[in-house]
Amino acid sequence: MKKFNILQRIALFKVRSKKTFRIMKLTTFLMSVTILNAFANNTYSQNTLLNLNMKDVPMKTVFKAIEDQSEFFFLYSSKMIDIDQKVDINVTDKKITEVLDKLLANSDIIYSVRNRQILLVNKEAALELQQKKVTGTVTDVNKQPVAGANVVVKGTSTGAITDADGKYTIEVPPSGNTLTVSFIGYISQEVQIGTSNDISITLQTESLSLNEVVVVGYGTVLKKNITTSISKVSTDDIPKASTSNVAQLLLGRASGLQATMVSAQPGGNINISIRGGGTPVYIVDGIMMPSTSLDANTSGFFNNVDRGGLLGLNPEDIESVEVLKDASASIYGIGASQGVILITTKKGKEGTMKINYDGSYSVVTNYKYPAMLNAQQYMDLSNTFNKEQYLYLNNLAPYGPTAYTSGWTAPFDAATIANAKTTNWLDMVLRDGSVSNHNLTFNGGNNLIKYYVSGNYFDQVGSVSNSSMERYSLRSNIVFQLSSRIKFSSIVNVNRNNYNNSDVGGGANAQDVGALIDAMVYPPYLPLRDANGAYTIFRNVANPVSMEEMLDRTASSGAYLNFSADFTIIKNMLTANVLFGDNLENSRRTAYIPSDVYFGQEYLSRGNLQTNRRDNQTLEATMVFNKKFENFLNFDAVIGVGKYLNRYDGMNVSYNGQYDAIGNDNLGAISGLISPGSYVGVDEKRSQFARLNFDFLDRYVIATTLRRDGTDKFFPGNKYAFFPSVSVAWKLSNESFMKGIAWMNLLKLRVSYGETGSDNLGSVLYGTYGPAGNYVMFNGNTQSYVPIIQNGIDYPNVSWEKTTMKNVGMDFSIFKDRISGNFDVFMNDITDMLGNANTPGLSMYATYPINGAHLRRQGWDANFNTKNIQSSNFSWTSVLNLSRYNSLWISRMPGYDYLPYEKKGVAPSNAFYYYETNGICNSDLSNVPASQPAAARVPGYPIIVDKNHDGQITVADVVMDNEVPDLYLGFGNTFNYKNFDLDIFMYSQVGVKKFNDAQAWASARLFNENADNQNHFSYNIWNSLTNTNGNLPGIAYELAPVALPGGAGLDIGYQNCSFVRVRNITFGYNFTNKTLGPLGKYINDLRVYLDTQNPLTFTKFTGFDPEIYTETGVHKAEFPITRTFTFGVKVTFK
Amino acid sequence: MKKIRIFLLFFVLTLLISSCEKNFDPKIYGFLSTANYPKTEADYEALLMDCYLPFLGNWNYSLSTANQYGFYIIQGVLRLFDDPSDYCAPWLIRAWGGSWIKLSQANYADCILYPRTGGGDDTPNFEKVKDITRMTEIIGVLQNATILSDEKKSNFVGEARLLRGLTMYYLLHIYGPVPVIIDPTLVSDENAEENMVRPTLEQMAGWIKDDFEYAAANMSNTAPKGRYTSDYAKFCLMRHCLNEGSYMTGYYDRAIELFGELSNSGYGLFTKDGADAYANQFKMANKFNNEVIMALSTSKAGDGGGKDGNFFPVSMYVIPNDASAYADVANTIPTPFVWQGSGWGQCFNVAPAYYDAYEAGDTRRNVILTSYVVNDANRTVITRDDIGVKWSGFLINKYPPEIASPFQPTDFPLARWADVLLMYAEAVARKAQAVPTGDALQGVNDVRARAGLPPLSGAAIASYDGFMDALLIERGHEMIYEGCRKIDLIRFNKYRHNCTIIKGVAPTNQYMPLPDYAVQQAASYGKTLEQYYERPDYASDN
Repeated sequence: MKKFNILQRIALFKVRSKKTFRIMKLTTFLMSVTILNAFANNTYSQNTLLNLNMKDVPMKTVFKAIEDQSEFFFLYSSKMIDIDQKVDINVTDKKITEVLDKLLANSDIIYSVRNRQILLVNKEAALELQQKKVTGTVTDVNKQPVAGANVVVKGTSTGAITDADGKYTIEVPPSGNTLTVSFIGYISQEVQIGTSNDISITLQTESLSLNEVVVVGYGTVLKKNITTSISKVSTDDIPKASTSNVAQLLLGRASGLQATMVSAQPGGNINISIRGGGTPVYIVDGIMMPSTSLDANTSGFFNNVDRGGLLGLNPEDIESVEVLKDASASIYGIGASQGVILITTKKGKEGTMKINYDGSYSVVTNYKYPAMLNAQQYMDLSNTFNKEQYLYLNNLAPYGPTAYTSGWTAPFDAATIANAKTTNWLDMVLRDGSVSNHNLTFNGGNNLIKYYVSGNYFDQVGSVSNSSMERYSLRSNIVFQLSSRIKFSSIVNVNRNNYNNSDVGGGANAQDVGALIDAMVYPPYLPLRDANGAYTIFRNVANPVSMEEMLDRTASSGAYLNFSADFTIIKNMLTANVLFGDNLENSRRTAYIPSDVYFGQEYLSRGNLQTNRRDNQTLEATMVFNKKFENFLNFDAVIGVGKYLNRYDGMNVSYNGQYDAIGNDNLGAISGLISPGSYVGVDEKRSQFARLNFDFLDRYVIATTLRRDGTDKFFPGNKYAFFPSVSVAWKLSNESFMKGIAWMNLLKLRVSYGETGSDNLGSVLYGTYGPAGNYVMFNGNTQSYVPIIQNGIDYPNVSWEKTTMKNVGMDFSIFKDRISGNFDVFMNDITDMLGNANTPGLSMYATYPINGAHLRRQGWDANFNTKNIQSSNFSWTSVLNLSRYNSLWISRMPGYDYLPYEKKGVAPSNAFYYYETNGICNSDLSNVPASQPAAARVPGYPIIVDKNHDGQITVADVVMDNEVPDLYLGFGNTFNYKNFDLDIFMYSQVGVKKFNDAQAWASARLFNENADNQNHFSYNIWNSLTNTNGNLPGIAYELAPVALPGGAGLDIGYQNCSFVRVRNITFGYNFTNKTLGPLGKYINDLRVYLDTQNPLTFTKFTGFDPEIYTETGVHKAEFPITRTFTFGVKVTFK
Repeated sequence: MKKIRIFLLFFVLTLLISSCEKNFDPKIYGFLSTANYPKTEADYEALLMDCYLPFLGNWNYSLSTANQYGFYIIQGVLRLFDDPSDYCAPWLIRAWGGSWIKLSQANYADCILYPRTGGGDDTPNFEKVKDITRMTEIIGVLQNATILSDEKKSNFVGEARLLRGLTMYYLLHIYGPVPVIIDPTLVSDENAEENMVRPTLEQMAGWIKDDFEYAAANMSNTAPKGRYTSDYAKFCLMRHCLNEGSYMTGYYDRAIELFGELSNSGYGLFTKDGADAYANQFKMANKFNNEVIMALSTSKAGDGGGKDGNFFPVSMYVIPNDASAYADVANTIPTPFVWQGSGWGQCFNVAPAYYDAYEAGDTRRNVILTSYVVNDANRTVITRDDIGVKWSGFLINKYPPEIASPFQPTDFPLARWADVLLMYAEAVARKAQAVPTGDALQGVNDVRARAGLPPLSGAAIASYDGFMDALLIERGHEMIYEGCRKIDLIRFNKYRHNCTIIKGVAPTNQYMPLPDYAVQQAASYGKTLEQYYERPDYASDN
C-alpha cells in the first residue's frame, strides 16, 4: 500500500458535517486520532437506537440516513474508504455500534464512535495510526545507567522516567517522532524515533550547567543556588600526564585563584593564593591537610628543595577542586582566613566493575638558559674590563684628565685566547628528562557497596643532573550501605615518594652552592679534569660535574585515612555524620658529601640524616536537616562539632669524618664532629559550627554560618572566637517580571559577608627558656656550655587575627546557556593582624607578639564559559578566567620602621621603591643633567631621573611600583570534531615588573682575571673602550657605590615580566568499542592523545623566566622551566 | 533506630564537652618554663653563658636579636677597628662592593641606612644595646640567686659584668656613648626601655669602669683557656682607663696600678725562636704562651657553625682567591699558603706606605707579604708593581694557614703582655705629660728588642710629643690586625691625620653614625637620639 505522510493524510481527510463544516487543523486531527482508543464518555451512542431498512444502496446513503435519524455525524476520507460500495441493511432499535458492525462486516472499513462522532478509516491506515511502544536505556558517557532521567515524546505530555538500570518504556503516539531525554547535570538530548523500537541514549555531562553540584563546606549546593563566590575546577579536563601535584593543575584554571610556579623541579612548588592571600587551607574529602611539603633543607648543604604539598595525592584521583573565595570559607573558621581549597576525590559508582588504565610517557626538555660566555668571549671581556678598571683606579681618561699611555698588561694574551678551548658547563649539568605515569583504576558497585580503587606509578627523571621523583600511590574509596539508614565510607591513600634532590640551589658567589650556579660561575676555559684525571678546581667553587657524586635523597611516605559514618534519622530530612580522618606523613632525607669531592672549600666527608614526621587528625560530627515546605521554602541546616590535632616531630644528625663506603648507613663509624637535633610539637583546635540555608520561592536564597573556634595557642579567655557569615542570593531570572526575557536563562545577584580567623603566630605566647643556637666553648673547644636563653615572657592579651570578607557578585547564563559566567567584586579586611612588633629600643627582646596591623585586599574576578559552536559533529567551547587584586596596608604594626621615601598611611603592601634611571653617563659627561648627584657624575654611572624636576635628586624622586600583576588570566579552548578533540589552555600574568636576575649576573667588577664566568648580558655593560652605548652600569658604579638619598636602589634590570604561557595543547582521538574492531570485545573506550605542556611562553622579559619567583638581588640559578611532550592512552575495559 | 539516636546524642555531647577550655593549654616541648628555671648552680651558669654569645668565634649569634655578628670574627673588631684604620688601603680590586668598600675607605656616610634586621654586611651593631639590657637582667637574676654561695655568686656576677662592660666598651668605640640599661630593676620598665638618649661620655666611661672594676675584684684567675679571668678584666680596665683618662680623674693612676697588679701574675714577652718570636707567638704550637693574658681559644673543629666551637676564619679574608700553595708548577716549593680551600678576597691588606714606614730590621714586618704566587699555569708572581692593578695592598699573614683546611685553628689574641707594657709606658707618660723613664720606658724597649730593634732614641725620647708619636707607631707595628687600631688612633687623636697620610683618604666621621631607624624610633618616644658623635678634641685631629 502506498504510504502517506502526515500532511498528505490531513489533506486526504474530507470532513463533513450536517451542522457545521470544519476545517481540521493538525491539532484537531491528532485529537481525533486519539478517539480510536478513547471511548470514554459515550452515553449518547449507548442510548440512541436506530432503525434502518435499505437494500443495495451506496454506503454513503446509509451514512446520510443515520445522520438524518440521529445527531451522529461521520468523519472519513472518501479517498481512504470506498463509500460508493453497495450495501444492504435491515435493523430495528439497534445501537449505533450494532448497526455499524453489521454494515461494515464485509468491508475493509473500521469505525470508531466517540459520543456523536463516528470516524471511519480503512484497516491498514488504522494500524499505522496506532501507538508504538519504545524501550531503551539511558546511560552517561561512562556507560553508567542514568536512573531517574526524564524521557518525553516531544510536543506531548507523554513521558517516562528511567529506572535504576537506566531503562525506560514509553508509548509513543503515532504523531510522535522525537524523544527528549533530560536529567540534571546532563545536556538534554533529542533523538529521532524512526522505525526502531529500541532507542538507547548516551547523555553528555553538562559541565557548564547551572544545575551542576558544587561542593561547599560540609555539603553540596546546586550551582544555581550558590550565594557566595566559589570557583570550581573540574580536573578531569586538565592534562595530568606530567603533573605530580594538585597545585600544578591549577595554573590559570580558576578565577580569583593566583597560582604561580615557584620551582620547576620535580614535584616543584606552586605558590597558590586566593585573592592575593597567603597559602590557603586544603581540605581533602573533609580532612584538613598540610599545605606544605614535609621536606626540609639540610644544614651544611645548599637549599635545593622547594616542593609543593599534597605530593602523596595522585592528581588522577581528584574529581574536583573547589575554591572558596569569600564568606563561603567562614564555615572553616580557623586558618581559613586565606581561603579554602576543597578537594573531592573520585568515588565508586553503581554498576559493573569498570577497569580503566591511563598511561603516558613524556619527554621533558629545558627552556633555553641565558647563554654563558665561551672561552674567547670570556677572555676578551676580561681584558676589556681589566683595562677599564686600570683606567678608573689610576684616574686616567675618561675618569681623569690624563690619557692612558702605557702600564697595563692584558690578563690574557692573544695566543692564550686563540688556543683556549671552551667547556660548556651548563650542558654538563642540564639534560633532557622524562616522565612516565601509569594509573589503573577499578570502579563499580551496587546497592550495598560502591568502590573506587586506584594505583599510580609516577616516575620523573629531572632535567637537571641528580634530580628525580618517583611515586607509588594506592587509593581506595569504599562506601558500604549497611541499611537504608546507615552508610559507612572509608578512604585510604597510601603513598611512597622517592626523590633525588637536584644540585640546584643556594645563592651565587659562595663556596657551597648548587651545580647549576657553579656551571654558570665556572670559567669556560677550564677543562673538566686536570692532567692527573682529577676534577679541576676553580677558586673555592666546586666543580659542577663533581657534585654529581654527592648524595642527596628524600624518601617520604604518607597514609591518609578517612572514615565516616552516615546515619539517616528521618528519611530525606535528618541525617547525622561522624568523620574521622588522619593524615600521616614521614620523610627521611639522607645527604652525604664524599671525602674526595671538593665542596664548601674543603675535601671532607660530611653527612646529614634527617627525619620528619607529622600527623594531622580531624574528628567531626555533623547533623544535617533538610526540608521542603511546598514550593515556598527549601530549608537546610547543618550543625557540627570538630576537634583537630596536629602533631609533628623530627630529628637530624649532621656530622663529618666518616668512611665514604659507610656514609649515613651507620653513624657509629663517625670519627668527626656530630651535631644532633630534634623537635616535637602539637597544635590543637576545637570547633562548633552551624549553617542554615533558606531558599524562598526558588528566588531568594539565604545562607548563614556560624563557627566558634578554639585554639590552644592563646591564653584562657582568649581561646575562643565566633566567626559568622551571611550570604544572600536573588535569582532575578525567576521573578515573574523577568519571565518574558527568553534569552536570559539565569541572572542571580549575590552579596556575602563573612569572618574567618587565624591563630598562626609561629611562636609561643608563653614565657620560656630554650637552648641558644651557639654553644660557648673554652679550652680549644673541649669544654662546652649550652647557654639557656629566655625567649620571651607571657603575652596573655594576644588573640585572634580576623579577616572580614565582603563580596558582591553576579551569576548569569544567557542564550540557552551558550554564554554563562560570573563576576565578583571583593574586599577583605585583615584586622588585628598577628605579628611581631619592634620592642622599645632598649628591650632585651627584638620583637613582641601583638595583634597589630590592618591589611586590605580588594579586587575582582570573573569567569566566562561560552559554547561557541555546538553541532552534532563539531563543537567549540571556551573558558576565560580573569582576576585582579590589590593589597594595601591600612595601618602597619606599631613601631614599624618607615624608610624615608616609604609611603605612610594607606599604601600598597607589595610596594617597591626605586630611583628611575635614564641611560649611562658618557665618557665626557656631556649627557649628564645638573640634577645628577656629584658623587655619581662619573662615566659609566647610571643617570638618575629627577622626577619632580627640582634640579636635585632627593627622596621625592623615588618612584613606587606596586608589584602585584594588573591581571591574572586563564584562557582555554576546546574543540571536538567527531572523535577528535583538541584543547588549548594558556595562562598569563599581565602588568608586573621584576628584576632580571640573569642580567644582574653581569657585573663590570666581577670581570677580572680569575673571575666568575658571566652570560651574554655582559655585552651590555658600559665601558669607555668598546661599549660606550652599553646600558648597564660600568665599573665606577661598582667600585665607588653611591648611596642615593634614603638608600633606595635603581631600576637597572627591573623589567616588565608580563607573560602568556601556553600551558597545554592536547590533541586526542577517542575510539568506541564499535570502531575498535575485534578489540571492541575487551575495550569499551580507548583514547589516545598527544599533549605538550608549556610549549610556548610569550614575554618580553629577558631573564631566566618571567614567572618563577626569584629573590631580588640574589643570583640564584633556578631550576629551568621545562617543555613536556607526552603520548598517552586511556582505556576503559569491558 | 533508637540506638543510633542515642549513640549520636552521646557522641555529639562528648564532643561538645571536649570543646571547652579544659586541658586546652598549649603543648610546649623542648623548652624550659619560666616557672621552674633556673634552679641549680648549673642553671645559673648556663644563663651566665648567654653573655658570652657576642664574644664567640662563630659566623653569627642570636641573643636579643637575630643574626648579630660577634666581636671576634671578621665583621667584628677587624672590620670595625682595623679595616677603616690607617694601615689598610681601600679595598677596590676584586672587592665585594657595598659596605666593604666603604669601610675600607673609612667612609661611614651610609651607616645611617643600615637596616634593623641583621645578617648582611651592613648589620648594625647598635642592636647590641638590647644584649646589654639582657646582660643586666642576667646580672639581676644572678644577684638574687639564693642557692649560689656568695663566692660563686660574685664570681658569676663579676664575669657577667665583665662581658657587659666589654659590650659597652666596644659600642662606645663604634658609635660613641649609646643608651643602655645597667640597673636590673629597670629591665622591662617601659620608660627605661624607651629612653633612647645618648648618655654623656663621662657616664658611659664610668659605667664601663664600674663593671670592669667589679669583675677584676670578684672574678677568679683559674678558668679554662678562653674563659675570662680577673686578669683579663684588669687588662680591659687598664685599656679603658688609658682611653678615657684624659678627662676622668684618677684613670691614669688606676692604669698604672693595674700594671702592678698584672705583673704579679707572671706574664712576659714570648721570646722563643729568636727572630721569629714575634710571628711565632700567633701559631698553633704557641697557644696560650706566657705572653697571652686572654685569647679566643679555637680548634680545627670550629667551622663557623654555632655548635661546633670557636673558629677564626681570617685566612679566607686575607688570602687572595688565586693564591697558590706552591710556587712552582711541579708543586715542590711550598708558599706560605698551605692549601686551605682557597681564600675569598683580600678584604684586609696593608697599605704599602705603612709597610714602608717600618724601621729596617723590624722582624714584625715579616708578617706582611709583599708578593704572592698565583695558582695559574705559569705560577705568575704578583708583586709591588701590581699594586693598584691586581691587588690593593700587601698581604697580612699574621695568622698564617698551617693546616689544609679553610678553618684554621688559630687563636685570636685579645690581651697580650706586650700591649700591657706599651700601655703602662703610655699611662705613665700621659699622667706625667713627659717621656717616661725606668720600667715604663724599659717595657717599650723590651717590646722593640723582641722585634730586633734598638731602644727608642732621638726624637722619640726627646719630648713628650715625640715619645707619643713613637708609641703610636710602635703600637701599630706590634698590634697590627689585633682589633684595636682605630681606638688607639682616636686616643692619640690621630685618626684623621694618619688615615689621610697613609690610607690616602680622610675618614668621613670619627665614629660610625647611628642608623636612621634608631633615631626615628627614639623620636617616636619623644626622645632625641643624636645620630652623630665625636669627641671634643676631634676638631684638632688634622
